[in-house]
Formats: sequence, C-alpha cells, structure tokens
Amino acid sequence: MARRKIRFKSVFILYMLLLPSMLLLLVFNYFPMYGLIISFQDYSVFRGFWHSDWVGWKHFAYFLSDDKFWSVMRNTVILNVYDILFGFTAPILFALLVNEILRKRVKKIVQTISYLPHFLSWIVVAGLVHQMLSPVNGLVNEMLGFLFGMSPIDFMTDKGMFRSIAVISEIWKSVGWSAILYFAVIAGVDTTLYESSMIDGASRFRQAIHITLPAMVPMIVLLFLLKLAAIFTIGFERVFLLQNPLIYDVSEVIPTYIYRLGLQQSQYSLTTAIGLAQSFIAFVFLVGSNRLSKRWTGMGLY
Amino acid sequence: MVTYRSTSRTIFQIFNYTLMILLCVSILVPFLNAIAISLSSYAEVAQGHIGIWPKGFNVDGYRKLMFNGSFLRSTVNTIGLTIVNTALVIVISLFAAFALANKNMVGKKVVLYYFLITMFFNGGLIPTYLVVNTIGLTNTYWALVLPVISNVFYVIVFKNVIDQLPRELLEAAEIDGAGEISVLVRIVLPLVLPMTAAFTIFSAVAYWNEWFNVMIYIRDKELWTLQYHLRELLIDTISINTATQDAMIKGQDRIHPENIKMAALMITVLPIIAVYPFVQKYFIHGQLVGAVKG
Repeated sequence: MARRKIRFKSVFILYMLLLPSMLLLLVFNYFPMYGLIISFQDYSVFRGFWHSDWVGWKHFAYFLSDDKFWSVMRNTVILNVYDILFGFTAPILFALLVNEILRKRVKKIVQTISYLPHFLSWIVVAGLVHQMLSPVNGLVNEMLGFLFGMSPIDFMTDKGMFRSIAVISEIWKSVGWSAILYFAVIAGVDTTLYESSMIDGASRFRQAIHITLPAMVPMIVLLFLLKLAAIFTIGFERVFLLQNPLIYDVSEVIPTYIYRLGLQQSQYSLTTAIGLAQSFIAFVFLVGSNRLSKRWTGMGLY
Repeated sequence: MVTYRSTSRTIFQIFNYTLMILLCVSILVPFLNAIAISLSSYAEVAQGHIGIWPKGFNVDGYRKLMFNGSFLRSTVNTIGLTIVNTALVIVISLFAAFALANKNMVGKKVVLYYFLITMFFNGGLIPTYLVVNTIGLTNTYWALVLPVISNVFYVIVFKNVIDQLPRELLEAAEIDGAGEISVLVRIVLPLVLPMTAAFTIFSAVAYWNEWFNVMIYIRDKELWTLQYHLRELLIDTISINTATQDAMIKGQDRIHPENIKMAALMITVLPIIAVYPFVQKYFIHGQLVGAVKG
C-alpha cells in the first residue's frame, strides 16, 4: 500500500515536470495544427476557428489557377536549384580542400573564421551585403571601378543579380558550418586506408578521390535527399531581407509570399491553404527521401 | 604524415592556400569595412572610399547610440529576453526529458509521440499567428517568450543522454530515499552538464538573433529587440539622427547615417564575436549531436 502511494506520488511529480512542455506544445503547436482547418473556411477574425463559414476547396482552387502563385512557385524552385548546384556542393569541396591543409594551425584558423558567419543573424548578413554592394560607397563597386574602371552597379535592385546574390550570401554564411558534418565523416575514416594506399604509391589527390570522397558519399546522399525534399520551401529570412519591391518579380518565394499576402493583406485562409499544400508536399517528399536514403546509404533521419 | 614533394603537389598547395586565404579575407573584409565606416567622420563617409581602415577616426556613432533611449531599450530587451528564454528552454526541456527517461513514468510512449509529432507537423505561419493573436499575446513580451521556449529536439537529446546514465546510480539514490526532484538536481544535472552547456550557448545565440516574432507580433517600439531595431535602422524607416540634424543646424559635428548603421551593426554582433572563440567547441559539439543519426 505504502509502495503504491510512493509510486503514485512520483508519477504525479513526473507529470508536473512534463506539464510546461506539454502545455506549450498544445497551445503553440497543436492549436495551430487545428487552425489549419481555416484553409477550408472563409476565416473571419471575429468569428474565429469555430464559427467561420466552410467553403471546401475554394482557396486551393483559387491559388492553383492564379498566375502570381505559379510565378512565386517558379522562383522558389529556381532558387532551390541554384542552392543545390552551388550552395550544396560548396561545403563538400570546402571540406575536401581544408582536409588538404596539412598544417594543423592553419587548418584550425581557416575553420574558425569560416564558421563565424553562421552565428550572425540574417539581418546582420543582409546589412553587410547591402553595404558591400552599395552603389554609393560599397567596396565591391569601388574595386570594380578601381580595377576595370566600371561605373557603379546598383546590385540590389537589379533583377538579374538577385539569385546570384542570394546564393553567394548563403555560401558566405554557411559554407564552413555546413562542412562540419563532412569534417566529422573525414575524421572517422580508417587511417590505415591512407597508409596502405601510400605504400601503393597513391598521391594525395588519388587518396582524396578514392578514399576521402567515397567515405563522404553516404552523408552527401542523405543531405542531398533532404535538400531535395525541401525543394518547394526555402528559408524565409535570407530572401526577405535581401529582396525589395523593385525585384519582387524574381525574388518573391512561397514563404515571403505567404507573409505578405497573409499578414500584410490579411488573406488568412488563402495563405493557410498555400502553406498546408506546401507542407503536405514537403512531407510526402521527406518520407520518400528518407526511404531512398535508407535503401541507398543505410542512414536515415528517423 | 609524409608530405609529397612533386611539382603538381606544390602547385595544388599554392592554389589551395590562395583559395583559403581569399575565403577568409572575403569573410573578414565586410566586418573590417563596417568597423571602419562606424569609426569614420561625416565628411569621409559622405565622400565614400572607406576601405578597411577608418578615416577621420571618432566614436561619435557609438556615443550617439549609447545615449539613444530607444536603442538602449532594445538592447536591454534583448539581453533580458536572451537570458530568460535560454534559462526557460533549458529548464523546461530538462524537466520533460527527465520525466520521459524515468522508469516510474506511466504512459511514456503516448507522451513521447505527443512530443515527436510536433517535430514533423506544424500549423505554419498564419495559424500560429492567429493563435497567438487570439489568446491575446500580441504586442506583449509573452509573444516573444512563450512560442519559442519549447524545444522538442533538446528534450529528445537530453532524454537519450539520461537513458544512457548508469541505472544503478539513479536507483541507489532512490533507495536512499531521494525524491524525483533531488535525483534530477543532484545526480542527473551534474552528469548532463556538458550537453546543457552546449544547448545553453546554442539557445543564447538563437535568441540573441531573434527578430521575426518582433516583426509579426510587436507594434510598440518599447518592446523591440536589438536585431529588429538594427533592421529598422538599416532600411531607414527610423532615424536616430534627429539629434544629428539638430547638430547640423548648430554647425556641430555631424554623423552620417551610414556611420550610425554600421555602429549599430557592430554593437549587435560584438557579443557573439566576443564569446565565439571560447565556445566554439560547444557549438561544434551541438551541431554534431544535431546531425543525422547513423
């Protein structure tokens, strides 16, 4: 009897410890999930989640036939493709090249400097980008002027420049940090492989191609699939902080579109429908990617 | 390791070192440029051509910001929110993880699913905004605290770490009559301290850099955080220069808006750069835990 009582008391305490987390998740995760029902309503702020009128698939039908939506979708996918082509490969290359630095101290310094931008907010990074590319006193224009005698270019309002700027900013901010996973993989490679290949007369280059790179492949495949799974989504902050009204044509992507249409123009139901459709596709892609990854590399996200 | 001394190797090394130096320079130069502008005089900034060394050295930009009530207010808000949010996310996550790892826990599996589901599904921006709005948190500090202090990832990692602690240790304490709380504080906490340190630093940086919720939930300038204040300064929607314009009229030293912007930017990143060298290993530790499980 006494034993039962102690046990009951301890279960009670344990639930009290869980309570803050569970309450927060209920309010800020589960309530919003329930709130997704407004995709099928004409949500009215005054009538709330429970009493707004049901309209079925109206909002989905609307955005699927909306040219603006498809242009935003196109921008999202294009930027993602560039991110994969350049942003995804950069850390792989970076990890391989850093691995070739044989002086420990130099290696350490390069790594330390390259990790740094990761810890800065996009506000700061975008601020620096604007400053460097400024047509008035930006260093990039000063350099172009000095070296080639070019007149200043207004990079930030040039539609043709936006994607390059977004991709390069991302690489600048995260190339070092993203390479950490690859460094960890490289550190785990059996050193006897290098020793025996050296006896066979393999050069450092051949070692990199035939030992280091293959060791990295499972990680590369996994991260690639995850990246591919997210092809219809993209980080909000980078795009939002680098864009401006003059280049919305090329720079508006789904999250910034949802923000502008939803929060600034109060199109709550329509944007929730877009968000829901996007999450649904992302989820299907993620499950698919995870399955492929497990089959090909034996590694998975869950 | 034996180094090779072939010509191609030497060429490669030169190429590689050059590339690495260029990369490091490209990362450092924007900062040096920002610092230089923030420390230069009005006339020099207006003329442009400031490289990585200040011209007409002065600290008026920083002084102006330090005596600007609203900027100070944003700074204090950010420090406060960073401390409070970091403390809360760690405590709450540790509490939950301890409960989920406890052998006396009833309904463990169900609760675990309740947590895990939120890692894969969420309502997205608009429904979350509407919920925060509906329960009346908009334009209060609560909107900057409550939605961001539950972290399921931390809970899961803490739970795994606690699960791996030697069972006898916890059981011995229990036989000695220690309650749940004292087991948590006296035995578990010291053992998970390295993980806690990593998460603390991770969270602190994330909260320091937070601005999105300020943008969508906050209307009053008194509640702004540093990052958001910096953004408003950078895109010129507010001006800290009313005092500067007064000074212009009186013919005193003037401060260029670029000067103020870059000074604000440096103040915003300084704390991070200052602690960064000391805590780098925790960052890396945290990143690798966060990485994909094998």
